[in-house]
Order: sequence, then C-alpha cells, then structure tokens
Amino acid sequence: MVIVAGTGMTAFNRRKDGSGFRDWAISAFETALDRSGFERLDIDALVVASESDFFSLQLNPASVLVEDLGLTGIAHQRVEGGGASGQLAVHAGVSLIRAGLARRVAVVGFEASASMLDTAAVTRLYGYSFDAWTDGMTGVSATALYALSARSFMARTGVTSDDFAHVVVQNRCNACGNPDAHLPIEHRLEDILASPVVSDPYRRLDCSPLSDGASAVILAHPDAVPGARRKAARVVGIGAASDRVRLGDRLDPGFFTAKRRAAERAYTMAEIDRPAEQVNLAELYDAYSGAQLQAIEALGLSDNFLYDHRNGVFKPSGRLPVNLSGGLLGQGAPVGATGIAQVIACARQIEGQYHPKLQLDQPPRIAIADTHGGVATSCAVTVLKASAP
Amino acid sequence: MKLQLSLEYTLGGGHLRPFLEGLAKGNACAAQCTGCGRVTFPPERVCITRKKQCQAQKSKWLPLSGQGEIVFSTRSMAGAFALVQFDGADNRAVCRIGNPELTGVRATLVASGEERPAMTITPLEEPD
Repeated sequence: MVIVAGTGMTAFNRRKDGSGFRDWAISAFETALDRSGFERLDIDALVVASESDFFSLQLNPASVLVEDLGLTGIAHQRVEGGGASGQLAVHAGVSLIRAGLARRVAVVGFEASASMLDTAAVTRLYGYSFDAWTDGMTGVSATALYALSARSFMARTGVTSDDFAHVVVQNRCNACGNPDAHLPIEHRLEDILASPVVSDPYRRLDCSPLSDGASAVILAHPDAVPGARRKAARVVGIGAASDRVRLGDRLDPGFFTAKRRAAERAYTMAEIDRPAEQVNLAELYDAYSGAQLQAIEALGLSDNFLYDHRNGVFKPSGRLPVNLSGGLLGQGAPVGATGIAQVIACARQIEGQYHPKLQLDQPPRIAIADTHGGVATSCAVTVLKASAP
Repeated sequence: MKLQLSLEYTLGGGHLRPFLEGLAKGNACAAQCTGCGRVTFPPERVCITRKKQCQAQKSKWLPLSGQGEIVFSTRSMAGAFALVQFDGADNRAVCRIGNPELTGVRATLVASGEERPAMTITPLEEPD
C-alpha cells in the first residue's frame, strides 16, 4: 500500500501563452510537493511520463526535468506506454516503493500535444502508434481504428450512436465544474449527432481533444509520510495487461480483453471481488465516447452496462459516477499527464478535496483509474482507497 | 521559435520482407505455422492461436488468393478502412479501401507499390 501524499496539475488546454512543457511540469510538481508536506530533499526518485518525443522535441525528457525540478542527483526514469504512459508511471512509482528502492517518489507527466505541432502532423504520427509495419502503412488513423473496434462493439451489444452521444454530453457537462478542463461545454444531444463525421460512427464531438498540460503526484511509503498526510488516499491495487496489437488478431475487436485482465489483477491486489458493488467512483479512458462504454463493460463495473448507462447509473447522482472530471472528452488529454490526472481526481474525491461543484457529498471509499494505449492494447488500472477512519 | 524537422527513414523489412514485397505487387503472402498449421495474414512472428498458445516461432510462406470479406468498415477523413477476413487466413487484417466509391462485401488485394507497401483492397462489385 502506498500513500498519494500530494497532487498537482495544470489546466489542460491548448497553450497560447508561449510557455512550454518544462514550465507546466514544474508548476504541477510544485503544487504536488506543497500539498505533500515534503521538501525537495525528501524525494528520492523521479518517474516521468511522456508519450512522444516527436511532440516535445526532447529525447530523454526525464534528464532535463530532474534538473528543472531541483532534484538533480536522485534516480530518474521515463515511462512510456502510449496513452497509458501516465498511469504506468504511477505503477512504476508504486513498484519502487513496494520494492523498497525508494520511499518518496515524484511522478510527473506531461505532453505538448496541442500547441507545438499542427493537428494534421499529430494525427499522422498517431497512425504509427499501432503496428506501424502493417496497420500503420495503410495510413489508418487512430480514430479509424477505434471506429472499427466500435463497429464490432455495437454489433455485439446493440449500443447505438445515441448512447455514445449521451457519454459526450455527460462528460463535457461534468467538465463545466472543473476549472482545469479543456472542453467545459453544455452540449445538446443533437449537437453531437450533427457534428461532422471523422470516421463513422465517430463524429468530431465524439473525439477527445489534443491538449497541452502536466500533472504530478508524490507517492510515499506510509512510514515516510508527515502526520497530517497519513490519512490521505492510498493506492491499494495496480494491474496492467496487454492485448494483441492488431485489431485483426483479436477474437472480438470490440471487447477490451487486456483491460479486463488489468482490472482483475488490480482488483485482486486490492481484495475487490464485486467491483460493480464495491467501486464508488471511476475515472475511465474515454479517448472516444464509445470507449467509455467499452471500458465499463471490460472493467466489470456493471452487470448490464447498457441498461445502467441508459438509466443514469454513471451520472454524478448515480450509483457509480464515471468521469466526474470530464474525462478525456471534457478535461482533455495531454497524454503523459492523463493517467496521473485520473489518479489525482480519484485521490482528491476520496479526501473530499475535489473541485467543489464536482465533489461527491459522500466521498468515495474506493475509486479506480483506468487508462490504455493503442486500442486498449496496453492497459493499466489503479485502485485507490480511503484510509481507515 | 519555429523549427522545421524533415526526416527520411530507411526501413528494413526484416522477417516481414516477403509479406511486404507481396503487398507491393498485390500478392497475399501469408505465414503458416509449422507447429499447428495456423495461417496468418498479416503474418504473426510467434504463433498465438485464439484458443491456446502454440508459441511456435517457425513458419513457412503460403500464397493466398488475396480475396476476402469485409467484416467491418469505416469511412474517415483519411480514407476508408476495413477489417477484412481473407480467404484461407485465420486472422483478420486492417486494410485501406482503395476505391471506397465501390460497394461490396467481397474484396481483393491490390498492388500498393514498392515505396509504401500497404494492405490495400478494392471491393468486388456484387453481380446483379
């Protein structure tokens, strides 16, 4: 068990102020460090998450950040797992502490997805984030691959484009209470269904934005935490898994098998055997609207996810609120920062310290953060839990 | 600051070379596992069957007809793409649809050229 001693993040958006990822990383780290009650000298390892050097034009970013953050001399590493990079970095930090190799670890994620390259260039690069030698050579986009997965999901489950649109409306509505969110918008259902087709069934408003931003958490061994923070949220389960990288090699390209496996591993570590009943909050990887429903299914968060979706179970007032932050669709998606931001949302909700308009009246006891890279190829799930009263 | 980066890669086809050379000419060159006989197009490096892991690392090249069935498709801003079940293959392939204006469930592989060998299909019009 590892304590989330401090959390910090920048706003997620498209920067137009001339700042760069190093500025954002420092800002997020300073906030997390301040909240943790630690001093710089207390930190004995840094884990950096960033998906692509093409976006930042900085190879080995951990080597510059360890210096920028005033941590020169400590162990540092960079973790990359596509969209799952941020959460895998959290897992790396947890593992360092559990293995006894560190007692207080700073995990910092960032991505300059929006302002440094034009959208067409980023989209083109993402086409090589799958199997570049086979699928990638066709020029297929990430959206088109997600769309093919969604087609299979819809054919098997009866999910419709209307169901997808409801996810967008809810998540971006949630984002309206999140001052750090990229797209706080009160959409109408018809807005989603009338937006231009990007790759059918996905329309423009079904897609999460490319964002700039950074996030950070300070993880610590329970024995290495100041008294005031010993009751902070803790990581009680981590799980990761992989699926076949090519959709065509999967038995059902619409089912997120690796997400199911990652969740099972995390639930086992956290001693959760009835996730649909025990999990009180979920921050899920909604890179596309349909992916949120695919995640709910794979994570076992409902015995009948479609019925529950249509009956408000995953709304803020429902039994299991999902993506109160706005998710990737609303809060935004600076890839290396995304998974860490999910953990931040869970930890702050558990502590009753989330954005006032979104804080649950009854803080959750158990929350999960779910992230993936590829079309759920590299999956990572983290379980957070409130400290005992 | 404005910085422009132009990169030119030289990619080695490695074990995929026969497959890539086939795509350039419009031929479907599949891999057949010498352990269990499973046929994959695009080829798998290690045989992973859907029911159990064969794990054999040896395969031989096997020509397929290049015809198959479109299972799912999507029309996107970057073109049209499909998940295709090629005749004789035990897996499926993500392919670009070269002539998206054509309709049809059946499709055939077409030559994509040596510069960028890619799985590209053209739908076969349904007979009236």
